[in-house]
Formats: sequence, structure tokens, C-alpha cells
Amino acid sequence: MLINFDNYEHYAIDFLEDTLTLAVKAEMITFLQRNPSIKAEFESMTDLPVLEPNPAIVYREKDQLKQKETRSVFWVYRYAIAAGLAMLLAITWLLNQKTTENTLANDNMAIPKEIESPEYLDQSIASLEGETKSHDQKEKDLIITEQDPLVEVRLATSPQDKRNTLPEKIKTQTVPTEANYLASQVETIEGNKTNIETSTSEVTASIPVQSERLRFSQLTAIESNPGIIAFEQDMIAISPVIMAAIPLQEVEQKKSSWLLNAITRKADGTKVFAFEEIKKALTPTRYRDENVDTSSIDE
Amino acid sequence: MTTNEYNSCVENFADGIFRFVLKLSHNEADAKDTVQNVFEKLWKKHAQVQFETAKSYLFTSAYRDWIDQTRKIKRMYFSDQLPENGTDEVATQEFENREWIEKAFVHLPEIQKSVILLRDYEGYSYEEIADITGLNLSQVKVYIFRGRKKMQSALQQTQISKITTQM
Repeated sequence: MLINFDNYEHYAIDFLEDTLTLAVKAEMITFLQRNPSIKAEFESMTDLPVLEPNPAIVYREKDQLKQKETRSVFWVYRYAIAAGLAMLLAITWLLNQKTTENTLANDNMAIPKEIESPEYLDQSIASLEGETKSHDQKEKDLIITEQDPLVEVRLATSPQDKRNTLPEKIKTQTVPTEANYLASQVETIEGNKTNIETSTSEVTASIPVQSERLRFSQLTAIESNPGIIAFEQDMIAISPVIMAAIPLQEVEQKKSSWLLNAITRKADGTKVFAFEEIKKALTPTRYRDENVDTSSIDE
Repeated sequence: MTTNEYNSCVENFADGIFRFVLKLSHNEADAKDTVQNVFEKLWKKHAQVQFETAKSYLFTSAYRDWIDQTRKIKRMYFSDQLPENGTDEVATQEFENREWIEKAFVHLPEIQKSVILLRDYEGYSYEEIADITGLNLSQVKVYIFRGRKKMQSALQQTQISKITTQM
């Protein structure tokens, strides 16, 4: 680098402010020594004039320049939106509660008469018999091929009037069954007569009355006498929850044991019969406390 | 840049821009117009401009706005004569030397005034001044050197003439 008369101004301000590197500064000093007039000029600039801003000079109309905070509609109405969402959730929850109650109520109270009617039961049984007859009137064993491990029967805590009981008064409780029997059913067709016999063997699982798979199955409470299955006390419902509640009334009245008969179809169309002795399930603590003679139930 | 940040720019930089342009233009109305213009421009682009670079953006805009104004009204100063009366209506000077420095400044070429103001008023580095004015670094340093030399010379002449008068 060579500082000369044409370019010395490029370094002048840095020289005066003493910010040049040592090498450039030395070169500048050399240049000034060779040019006394410029050196004199620099020497007179030891105290460079500097402007100072006057703080009294201010722009007094700042407020006109400022902008108001513009927030999105969502931000402006955030509380209203939050409140609306909360209300919507609350309504949804209430409706859901109502639906659940109605479902329970319907399960308890609104069993269609046609389903309750003996004619319907007869038709239902006849359809079962018809299917059995289609197998050349031969005896057929319908073996329970699948047992769900769930052991749970839900019961009403007190006898229910299924038409007049308010939904909120229905309390259900879960009573685990202790032992389950009747793993198979034998239907014998002799002419127009159908004999149905059940064989009992101990099984390790009970009917999954809360199972989604049985949700639309045909459930039948069957009065059980040793060796005889009679359908005259049957009832059919969609909900397995209500199934256990209605026999409770009958148990109290008749002191008999009941079988819960679940008929459902598997995915491959196979009809599955399953039985559960619900005598114990229908004998909740309350009845024991009332000194219900459970031994007579077995009669 | 958020609205709050924009308003913070107004609060923090409007005075400096006003002083900067007022010092260049010597016209309060023009300075106000420039301030309004640059902040209007900043607000339009506030979504794109970062808060950290807003000050540089504002001074660059102010400098260009002022250049545009001076080109339109064709009243740039190139005279070497000192004015008979100071035209800076707002500024007040505490010392006589300061007053003469200010008067000397008025007669600097516009470009020298600009770079000196950015340096002295706002404390910008030479590199930042180069960015704002669109000059290269060497030009900025030369203009500042020449401007200061003229101001120094004017001040010295004033002091000499005062001494002569006293004699």
C-alpha cells in the first residue's frame, strides 16, 4: 500500500481518530512528513468539531404516528370463544348424560311390548327350532365353542317396575358370578316336538353380558329345574344390563333359580348358546340380609 | 415487527429522524413531512421489517426522502458563504464556538452534512452510514473528513477574525 496525495483522505479520518493499524499509521506518518502542508492541516485538526444533537428538538406528534394494536378477531373475542366452547362442551356432556340415562331408562322401561309378548317369544323359539329342524330332524349338539373371560353381571339393587321407575332411581351394581355352569345344550327333535336339554359342566368363564359382542344378541332368562329348560318365563331384551334386573323381581317372587341364556352369532354365522346360572348373581347382599332363604331357591 | 415494536420505534427514533432531517433541510415542515413519510412507509412494511433493523431502515428512508425533497425543490446549498442569520429556528446554542460550528455545518455540501449528522447525531459507524446512504466506506470517510475540515477551518477563521477585531 502506498499512501499518496490522491488517496490520503481515505485514511485521514481514521488517522485523526487513531484507529489505523500500526503499519498503515506508519505509512501515513511517512506521507505527512513528505507533505508538510498536509501535515500542518492535520495538526490543526487535533480537536475536530463534532455536532451535538439538541435534545430540546423533539417531534411532538408521535401519537399521530403510533398505531393501535390490531388483534385478530380470534384474539379480540378469545374470551367469548372460550366461553362458547365451554358451553358447547357442557351441553354436549349434558346431552351425553341424558342419552345415557335415556338408554338406561329405555333398557329398563321401554321394552317393546311385541318383544315382551309370548307371541314374540314363541316366534323366537320357533325360529331356533326351525333352524334345528333344518338339519334333518337329527339330534344336534350345540357346543359352546367360545367363552369370554369376562365375569360380570349387572343387577338392579332393588326390584324394578320397568314401566314406572324413573331412570335416576335405577342404580345398578355389578355382582360377579362365582361359578358358571351349562356349557352345552342339546336339542332333540321328535316330529313336531322339540326337546331341549342342557348338560351342565363347569366352565371357567361366564356369559359376557357386558360384552359388545352380545350387544344385539338374544338373551333369555330361563327358569331352571333340574333337567328341564322351560321358556315360559323368558324375556328378551337387547341390553344385557336389563336382563339381570327383571329376573330379580321374579326371583324374589318365585324363589327360583334362573338361567341367563345368551344366543348370539359369531362372525362365521355359527350360533352360540351359552348359559349362566345367575342364581347367585341375583342374590345380592340385600336379600341375604333380609334372610332370604337361598336354599329354597335351589328347589 | 409487531405493532408494539412499531410504536416503540416511533417513541425512540422519531426525535432523531426529525433532528436529522431538520438539520439537513432547515425547514421544520419538511422535517415533519419526512418523519411522517418514513413512519408511514415503515408501518406499511412493518410485517417485513425486523425490529432490530428498524432504526437503520428509518434513517435510510429519511435520508432518501430528504434527497427526493431537495431534488424537487432544488434548493441544495453549495455556497461557501456563511448565512447572515442562522436558519435553524429550533436549535439553541450554548457557546459561541458551537454556534459557529453549526453555521459552518449549514454550508457543507448535502452529502457531507448527511454523513456527519449520522455520525454525530446517531453515532452510526462508518459502515452503517455507508449502508444508509448507499456510499462505499471510503467515500463516507472522505466526506466526513472533508466536512470536519471545513467546519474546523470556518471555526478557525472566526477565531482569527475575532482576535483581529479585538486588536
